[in-house]
Amino acid sequence: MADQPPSRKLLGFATGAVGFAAAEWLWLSGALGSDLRSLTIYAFLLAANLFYLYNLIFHLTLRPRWVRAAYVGWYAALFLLFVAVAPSSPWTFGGTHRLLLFGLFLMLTSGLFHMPVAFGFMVVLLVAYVVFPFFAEPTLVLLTIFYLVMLAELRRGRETSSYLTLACFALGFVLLLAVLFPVVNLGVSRSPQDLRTALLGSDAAAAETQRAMWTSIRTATVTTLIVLALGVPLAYFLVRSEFPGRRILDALVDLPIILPPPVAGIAIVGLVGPRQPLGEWLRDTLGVVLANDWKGIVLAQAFVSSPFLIRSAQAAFQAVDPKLEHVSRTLGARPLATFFRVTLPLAARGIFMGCILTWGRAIGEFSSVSVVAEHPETMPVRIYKQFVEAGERGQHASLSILMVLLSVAVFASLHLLASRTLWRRVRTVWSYVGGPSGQVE
Amino acid sequence: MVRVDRLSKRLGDFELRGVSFELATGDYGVLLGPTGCGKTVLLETIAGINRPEGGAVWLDGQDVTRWPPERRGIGFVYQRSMLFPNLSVRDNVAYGLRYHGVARPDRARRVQRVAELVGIGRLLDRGVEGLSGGESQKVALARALAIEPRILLLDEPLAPLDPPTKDALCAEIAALHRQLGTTILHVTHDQDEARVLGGQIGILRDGRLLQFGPKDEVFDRPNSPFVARFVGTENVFRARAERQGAGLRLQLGCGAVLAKGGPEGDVGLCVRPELISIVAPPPSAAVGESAPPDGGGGATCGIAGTVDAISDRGAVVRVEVATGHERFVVLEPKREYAASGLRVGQAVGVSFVPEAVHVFRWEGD
Repeated sequence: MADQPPSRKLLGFATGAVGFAAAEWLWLSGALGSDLRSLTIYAFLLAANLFYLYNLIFHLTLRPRWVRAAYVGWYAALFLLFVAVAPSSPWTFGGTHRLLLFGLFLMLTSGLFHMPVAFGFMVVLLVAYVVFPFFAEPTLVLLTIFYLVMLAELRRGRETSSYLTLACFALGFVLLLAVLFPVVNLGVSRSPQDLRTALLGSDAAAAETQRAMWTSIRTATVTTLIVLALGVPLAYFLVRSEFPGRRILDALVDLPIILPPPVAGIAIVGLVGPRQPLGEWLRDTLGVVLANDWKGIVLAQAFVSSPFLIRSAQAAFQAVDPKLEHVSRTLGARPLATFFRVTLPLAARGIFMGCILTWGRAIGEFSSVSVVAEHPETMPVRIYKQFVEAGERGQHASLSILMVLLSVAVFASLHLLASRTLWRRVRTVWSYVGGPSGQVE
Repeated sequence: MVRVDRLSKRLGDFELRGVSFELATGDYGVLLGPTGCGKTVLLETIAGINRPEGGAVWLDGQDVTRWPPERRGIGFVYQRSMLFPNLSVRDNVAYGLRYHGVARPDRARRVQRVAELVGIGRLLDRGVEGLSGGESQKVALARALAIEPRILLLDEPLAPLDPPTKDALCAEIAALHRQLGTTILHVTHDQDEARVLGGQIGILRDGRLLQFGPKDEVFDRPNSPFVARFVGTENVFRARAERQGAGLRLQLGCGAVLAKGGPEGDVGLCVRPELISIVAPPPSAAVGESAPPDGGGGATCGIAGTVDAISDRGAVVRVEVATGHERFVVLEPKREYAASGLRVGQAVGVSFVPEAVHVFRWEGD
């Protein structure tokens, strides 16, 4: 196509555009009405397709990065638009909107791959939608991962990508399957409108959900900060010290992971519960009540999530050569100055990753929290109650999806924050805050 | 001035056993020892990073044994330069200044000065991650020198470098030392480094300082077989010594040689390989008999043997001559070697003057 004369290319472009437009009109007319909203979607879609065709015909591929980004961005906007207008029912496979999403997905992905890969991907799509119609989306996600990874590994053509690597991936994939399949399946079981009603609706249940969401975010954040302030020193101590019994103390850090979470809750209540001596003392002298209070929730969350931060921080400190600290000391920095100017900046990224894990574990903790505090409700507690009490009519599925979305959004943005390049810059700034030393102003 | 007095320290498997030596202000001391002899532990103990179990460290007449490292004013350069990866080259060099009472406006000037001295002026605004091995070491050196240390400790700073860089940096360190007059204590396992840089040389083995003294003394008059071998004197033999006239007669397995003086009885003797010459044809005396009848000065000792191995070492050629019991290593200048036409298997003699023979009491090995 590259060496065709421009007139032939134009002809091809025109034919393609007309064909695409016709096909899309046929496809969309079944699902969308003729109101303004539907027409907007249609215009968007058409423009995206023309853009796609133009680049495909005149430049053969969507190779330049900005072209690709524009294409993906365009389709992402379309997805969001669809999600915004999709009705809450029927949201089952065969429902028109899910079919529409499928069509969009098809166009997006086929545009992103080059020919042989795109063909394989079509096969993946067909298998997902024809062979497993009721689990089409989870199947699609998992098959896509499987296909792309296998393809990349096989194409690498190195001795390391031997059958052993591939066999390891295939086995690991079974584990991924067990995790991702239920989650994705849950994720597509409610329509975006259901989620909106559950969180932003005007009824009392939605207000409860908002409160629970807020409680969860707040307690998990406070927990992370507390564990950060106390866990980092402990991690540093464990890494740099050498004393008999250090390994036992080190092993004790993992205790919360080994203990069943309800036991943690019961242990906490047994100590600071309303009828326990310490609990009474706290209430009478300090006015602090832990049971059925967010402070109790924080205590339970800190109990179960602290190992994650401590372990991450330990690994981060382990990676800082003690000789760097020695040099800093010989140059005149006291131990504390050395810690803040050398050790901490170098370990900061690892500690931050630990914070992400801790936050995730804290916000997801159910059993120990529910033992300590049924009120205020955190999201996990609320989801469980909905599941048990309201049965089929309950919003537990919608709430679960909201939790998944929240966690994924926070995880993704924090991981982005933890990217190495960004972090290097933070580290540099940090060192300047520690005091510009000899810097020419 | 730095004085280390019977310093001992146990760290894991390793033990420092009563190390004592003294370096005057402006001296360049080199501690030479094989890997694992405790060089790093010793330096870290002097710097205050390890607290010794016994003994003392004196700096300029002050007992600093109990001082924390930040008070001692000691510059330290590790084998792997240990630059702070979160800081630029400039901030690495400037790191210690704020702790040494250098006012903020003066820091930039001081950094610039020391950077130019060490030759890293153009690197100042770079990060430390892209630096080459030699550049990193120079930055580490500049960082240590910036605080104008009372003594600079160098822990095998040249070991990770490739040979040309190593030679260049070696020369630069020597020049810096001449220029600044900083007292330097350098540890290494490389005897060539010690020879080029050292004023005072110490030999460390298993946490013990075997010999410490001016360079020529240690190289030419080692006090034990280990020191002799470690400083490159490959011809170390055990012998029985008895007085003969003004000198000594030393009975070896393959014959007897003469020396100017030294202890009697069970002794070791060593002859530096560059002081031996090969004479062909072999001396007229029968194998195993050393030649000179008078035993006087100027006479040479000669022993017969056969050439066993020849290897090219650049400026010199290393020739091994096997006699009945001992094996002599001779370093022949290349020109002489080419003229002699030596080959393996040839019958030759080795000869050296009695002045070349150093005799010491044989103690252990």
